[in-house]
Amino acid sequence: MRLDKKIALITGAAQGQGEAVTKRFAEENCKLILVDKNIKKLQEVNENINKNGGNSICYQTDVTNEKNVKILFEKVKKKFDHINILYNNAGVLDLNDAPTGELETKIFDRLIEINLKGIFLFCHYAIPLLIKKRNSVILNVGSVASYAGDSNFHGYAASKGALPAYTRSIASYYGKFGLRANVICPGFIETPMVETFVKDKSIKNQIISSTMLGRFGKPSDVANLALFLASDEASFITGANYIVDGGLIK
Amino acid sequence: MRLKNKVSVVTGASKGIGKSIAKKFAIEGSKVSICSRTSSKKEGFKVVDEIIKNGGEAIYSSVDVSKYNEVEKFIQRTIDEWGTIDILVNNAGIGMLKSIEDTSSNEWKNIMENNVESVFNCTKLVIPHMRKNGGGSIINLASVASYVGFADDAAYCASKGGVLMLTRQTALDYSKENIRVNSICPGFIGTPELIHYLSQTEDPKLEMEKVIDYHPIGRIGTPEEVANVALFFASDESSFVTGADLAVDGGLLTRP
Repeated sequence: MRLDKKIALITGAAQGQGEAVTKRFAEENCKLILVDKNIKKLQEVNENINKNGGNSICYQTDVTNEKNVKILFEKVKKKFDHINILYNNAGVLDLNDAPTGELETKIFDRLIEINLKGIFLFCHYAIPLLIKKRNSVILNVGSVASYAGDSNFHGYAASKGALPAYTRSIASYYGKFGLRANVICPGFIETPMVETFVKDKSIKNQIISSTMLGRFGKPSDVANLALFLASDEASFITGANYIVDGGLIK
Repeated sequence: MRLKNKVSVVTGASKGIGKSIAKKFAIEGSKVSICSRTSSKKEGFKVVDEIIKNGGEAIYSSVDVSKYNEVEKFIQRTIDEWGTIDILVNNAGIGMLKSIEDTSSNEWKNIMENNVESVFNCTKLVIPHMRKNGGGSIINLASVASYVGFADDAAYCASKGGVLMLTRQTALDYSKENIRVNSICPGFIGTPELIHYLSQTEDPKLEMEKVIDYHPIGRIGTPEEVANVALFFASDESSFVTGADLAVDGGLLTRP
């Protein structure tokens, strides 16, 4: 079992990639703390894990609400003492996101609030629990937009583009505490989030033909990479961006 | 087992990273065809012996991977033995610490032939077999020197930059045939080559401290930590990853 005796906290665990990562980690014997805003779906995922012999608990949390996050970590500390893995998956697209000239400030603010500040808050409150043990790891979920321009979604690109720089800095400072930090950059993955903007068949085909492998990724493709980076197999990997995009033709 | 029934080719596998990759692949169920240059034949056979003793399957060939005709025979031998090739690890390579002015034309050619042309030779000769097989995974050992320069390391840095770009380009051409191509970019790893490099410096102990200091994680890496990345690329777990380069560098590249 590749995550034996590890404790992982996963945000945005109720659907899509987060759900797939949750399942994959559970298969490898990881104890799980699941976080999402959508309590109904989250409880379903949580029940499923426990029904299948896994070990997880869940907390409804709004990742942008500092008070909320603080209370969450107080509970986690009481129950678990430490955690080994923080998987910052929670993030959103906004259909009102746009090229800068047309982008409303409140939309930009919302994207930064959820996609960037949310990650900061979780890192901030998790780090004391992560560095209680060595060989701990933070995995932040970026995007293609973390390393390539996105012509339409400027707010999203800004929020995701900040992650490599932020994560490198965490890696650079906390390496001495045995904490690793990496970014996972998924391409187009078949998830409910991506579905919201690729309903159109022609857009779907356009995306497929822009990948070298000629297909969308599956949530399990991301989960496999997450598992590798979360496990001790990746013990010398920190400060890096790992891309799982089917070879997007840039 | 994550590589059950696969056939892998690993170059430069008599020691260091290549040896670790060959052994790890064998443990995960792959048959392994390894090679090294004649001067390290003895060590190469030892790797094969160890793999077989642990219940694995392996063969050794003595090959200069910079010579197309030698690689041709090596690949053919692997096919004769096991009929197919699923995974190629282009690991063989050499280093040299010299500035561009101190590098002779022959030394430059030697580095390029061993570090880049070798990848060309092996990749070109393996692709037809992967095609027949319906796909495969090619893993190139690039370096952190593919991204950043190191002092007095002209030819090596240029060669590793070449490996990184050849990886991306090959991924583009062969992804439609389900052949994935990725590179691994290690930082400083505890290998016989590193010990050799340190022994060439004025104060090896001080130099080692300097090398460790490159890595925010506070230590150099182990060959096994690189082999773990190779295993990820080789296995079907990375089936949506191609044209990518993964750093295993203890955070070296986070530094300015």
